[in-house]
Amino acid sequence: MEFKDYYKILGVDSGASQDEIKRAYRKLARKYHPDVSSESDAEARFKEVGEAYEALKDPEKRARYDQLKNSGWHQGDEFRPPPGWSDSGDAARGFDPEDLAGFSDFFSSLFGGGMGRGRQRRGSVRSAGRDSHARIEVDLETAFHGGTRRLSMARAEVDEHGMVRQRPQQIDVRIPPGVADGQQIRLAGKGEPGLGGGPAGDLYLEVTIKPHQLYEVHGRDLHLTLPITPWEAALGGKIAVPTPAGKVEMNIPPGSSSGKRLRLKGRGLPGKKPGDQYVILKVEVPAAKTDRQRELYEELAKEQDFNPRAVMEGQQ
Amino acid sequence: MSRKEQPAVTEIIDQERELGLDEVCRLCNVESEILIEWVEEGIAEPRAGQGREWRFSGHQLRRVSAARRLQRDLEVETRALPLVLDLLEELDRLRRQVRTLERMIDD
Repeated sequence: MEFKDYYKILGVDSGASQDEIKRAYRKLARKYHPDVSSESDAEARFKEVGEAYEALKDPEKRARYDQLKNSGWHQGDEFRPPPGWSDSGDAARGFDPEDLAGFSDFFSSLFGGGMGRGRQRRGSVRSAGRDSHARIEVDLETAFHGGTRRLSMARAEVDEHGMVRQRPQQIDVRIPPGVADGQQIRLAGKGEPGLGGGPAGDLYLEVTIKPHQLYEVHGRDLHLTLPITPWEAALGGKIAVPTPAGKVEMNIPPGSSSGKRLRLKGRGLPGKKPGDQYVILKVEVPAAKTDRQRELYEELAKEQDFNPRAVMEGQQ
Repeated sequence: MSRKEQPAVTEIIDQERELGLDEVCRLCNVESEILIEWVEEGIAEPRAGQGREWRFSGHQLRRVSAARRLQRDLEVETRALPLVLDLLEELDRLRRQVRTLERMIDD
């Protein structure tokens, strides 16, 4: 696993005060919070920043980390914890498992041993595990057709001594077709383990649909900007339009200008009430490159009594 | 570190129907007292359903879920949450609109 320079991630000096670390964290957390940021790697950056802060905000944990860092590790170095590391200290107390979700193996190997719940004697108390919550980003194609996404997260497990531990795990999540932005998926039994033979909790995933190159997602509706030629715009006709399910023929009415919206009913994201696909026309005008092309434009100019600026006449 | 996983039973939570208080608490991982306080503050606006029980739409569910993350991660004060959520929704709408308009402009 990679050594992480938590100071570098927060953009602070290794001698920074606890207050400076807190300020740097808050600034970056606001910048990369997935509910706020539009940057494509926001979620990953936010987790990285959160992990760095988790390691440095507590002076005890920070001292342990500094001890390691000062022994010569640098960002990106291939890292193995020194022998006996996991037995020293008790720095893993008090983590919320949800906060640990997505933290790196590096962090888990340094601090993520016991969960601070203490030893639980097996069979003494029977209780259901708590539900877990996470977010999952899927691309539009997967949301439309369904598919599988691999999710890395820390999951609590009860080991053979009845101790609850965090372990990084890859979970393959089957995405049913027709999930929409903000929708929740429930994975039965994938939350925290139960105690004393109690049932495990469920894992809830909130879906975010990644921005797509062609389509803009608005709920279950899709918006597609479709370039057309001036003659297609003027004369109308049938045009093959891409949809997530494949191309469909669409009628362009004669005299369509840029910005005109046409609707392909039921071609949006599937569901009980499937969404629609809106096609927004964009007329692209080719340059007149040859004499003949120029002549045709001039002829059209003479023939057409058309003034798109008529509305501006008489105004300053 | 990874271990072979049993396939999980996957279910999409139907957000076209309205949800009760307990369901929203479970889905968003908030205590019911907190959710009641949040409704009073205007973070979510449920409708009074049968027997005057609150019913939350899918949109309200998203607001509660975002409110919880914003409070947990950025320590946003409860009283500021309705404004923050309204502004984020507006920001999201405008970002989508800008992306659509950008596609309309020649490169």
